Amino acid sequence: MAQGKPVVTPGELLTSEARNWLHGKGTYVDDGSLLSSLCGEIQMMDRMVRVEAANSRYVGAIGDCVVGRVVAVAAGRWRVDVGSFQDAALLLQNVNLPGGHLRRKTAEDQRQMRELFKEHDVLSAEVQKVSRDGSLSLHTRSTRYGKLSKGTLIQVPAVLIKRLKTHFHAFECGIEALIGVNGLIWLSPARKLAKKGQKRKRDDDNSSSDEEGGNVKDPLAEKVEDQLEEVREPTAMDRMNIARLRACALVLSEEFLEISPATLMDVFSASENQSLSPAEMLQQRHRVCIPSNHRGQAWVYNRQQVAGIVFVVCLRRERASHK
Amino acid sequence: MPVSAAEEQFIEAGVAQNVRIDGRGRLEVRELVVNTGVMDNCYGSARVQLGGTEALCCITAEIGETQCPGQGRLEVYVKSTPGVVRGRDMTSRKLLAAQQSFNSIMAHRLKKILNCADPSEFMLEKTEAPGPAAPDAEESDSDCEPDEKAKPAASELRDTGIDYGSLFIRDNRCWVLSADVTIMRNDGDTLTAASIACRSALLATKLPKVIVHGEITGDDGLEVSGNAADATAVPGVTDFLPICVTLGKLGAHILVDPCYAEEQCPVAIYHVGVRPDLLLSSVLTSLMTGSSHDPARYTRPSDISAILKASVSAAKQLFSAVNSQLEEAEGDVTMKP
Repeated sequence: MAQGKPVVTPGELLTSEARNWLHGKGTYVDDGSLLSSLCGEIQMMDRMVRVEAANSRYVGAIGDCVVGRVVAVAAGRWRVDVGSFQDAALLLQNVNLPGGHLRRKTAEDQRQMRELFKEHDVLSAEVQKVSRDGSLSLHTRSTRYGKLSKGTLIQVPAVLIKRLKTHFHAFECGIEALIGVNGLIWLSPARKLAKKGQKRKRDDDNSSSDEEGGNVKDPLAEKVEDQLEEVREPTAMDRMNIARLRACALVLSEEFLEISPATLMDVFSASENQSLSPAEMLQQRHRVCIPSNHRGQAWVYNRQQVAGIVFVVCLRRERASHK
Repeated sequence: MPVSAAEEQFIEAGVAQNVRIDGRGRLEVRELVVNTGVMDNCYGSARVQLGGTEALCCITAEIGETQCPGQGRLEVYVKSTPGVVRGRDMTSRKLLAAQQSFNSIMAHRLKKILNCADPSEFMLEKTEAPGPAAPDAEESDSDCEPDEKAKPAASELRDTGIDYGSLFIRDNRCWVLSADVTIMRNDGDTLTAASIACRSALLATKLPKVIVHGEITGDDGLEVSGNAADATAVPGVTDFLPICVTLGKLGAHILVDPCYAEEQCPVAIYHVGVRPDLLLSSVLTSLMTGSSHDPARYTRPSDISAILKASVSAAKQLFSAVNSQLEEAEGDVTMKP
């Protein structure tokens, strides 16, 4: 087993006795030996070997919180681009309709789909299921998810984003970042939790409306853990902070380092200490200002030269660790 | 890729508050990085990075036939790498067509900016203002009556840019310069990056000396000297060749050097050709991307002077960036043994 090397390249020999191992993703068998088909890290669990790609498109998993852009409005569903190999599907029945009522699948609803999400709209959703061919099915069945507004979108490589407990992060500067696992990050001014008894304005308007076709109150809509306020209008200070966080994310992505609230905050405070403006942060000559220590762990930035091709690989910690 | 209504609103409100999405002010230009001498197989080359936009220009020269009597010429070709023209849900044929149209539009505009358009074109279409215009002119003559006489018109229009007369050799032979521009990355404002790349490459170009043997006719009588010391710079580039400054009118405000997301909003784009002495040479405009029924978005005559003033201030930033980097590079070269 090519154990000494944590990183392999396509075609590299993993083991010459393929039959003793379970073949995971990223490997293939050739003449009894197991070879890697990707460029990335070897992951071993019991008797299973797989290679995790160093850089690939987003591969979905159930429960992932993603940010996507609507590509098309089809019959009873929206096609959403999440940066994966295929577009994800957001079915009408999986969307929280305003008023929190379960709608029957009437023809009216299908015609009014564009009032919810139009083409090019950016929305946040959760992955409900992953089908066999890898395409994703999304849902926005929570008030946390839905159309995103009053903010800006950044795209970074999906591999840089770790799956954390929550992907909605409010920073001290008053900006909220929705770090989608698929590499799309939405920055907007932070929302505060609404006071008890004060529902969001949108729900209030429609909850009393009575539709034809007999609506049933959706029991799920009533118990919403987080009743958040509407996003406030960004001030000039907000915009500078958003621009600064955006530059942090872009800098981290250009250097191929992990993007998490902690690392973003690191770069954010480093840039403020060096009094760099967001525009200056993106410039090449200021690049040395990235902090090299994160919570005492060394960030190893490693260039490996294999077979004449230079691979830039980021090892997130000294040890090539399990996730 | 087009932006949603929410993102458009955010961008527009940001421009109104003078904080754009990357933290710049309205009249601030992105970082400009210029490297010359990047390609070995041509006379001059330059690679320009304007923020996330990258353009490469290679200048080749050969002795060819004159199209306009007594003058050489500059030909411009543009190509772009995949990813520069982004298409979503497009068939590959459509995407290819979009790329080709992008390339040809860029080449056309670059020719107008660098003032090397074909003289025969001026017979058929409207011309830009001949000669430099003062920066505080109220309105720029971007639409003149077409000039019927080709020869005098061509020579009048040539006082900005390369001195094409000096590229002439004899009879019907002249230097034909080809600028091959490759747009490598597109984060908005590709025309500015391409024009700066062309100018920087031309600044670095040294044309070999042509020795004319009068007694021998035709091409045999022309000898291209292999002596590098005899090579001369292309005249007119340093002082007269303009670069393009791109401005946008988004809502009620003017911004300079738009990035890709800003170009996707309903913004009216203006490309202004500015000479090194900060005089204006041409103004090109594009239609607003996306339709808009709001009359406030469209440009009024009073906006034009603000646009032209902003273009001069942006050009100042760009020229100083280019000059400081080229001087630095030259300094490095002279220090080598």
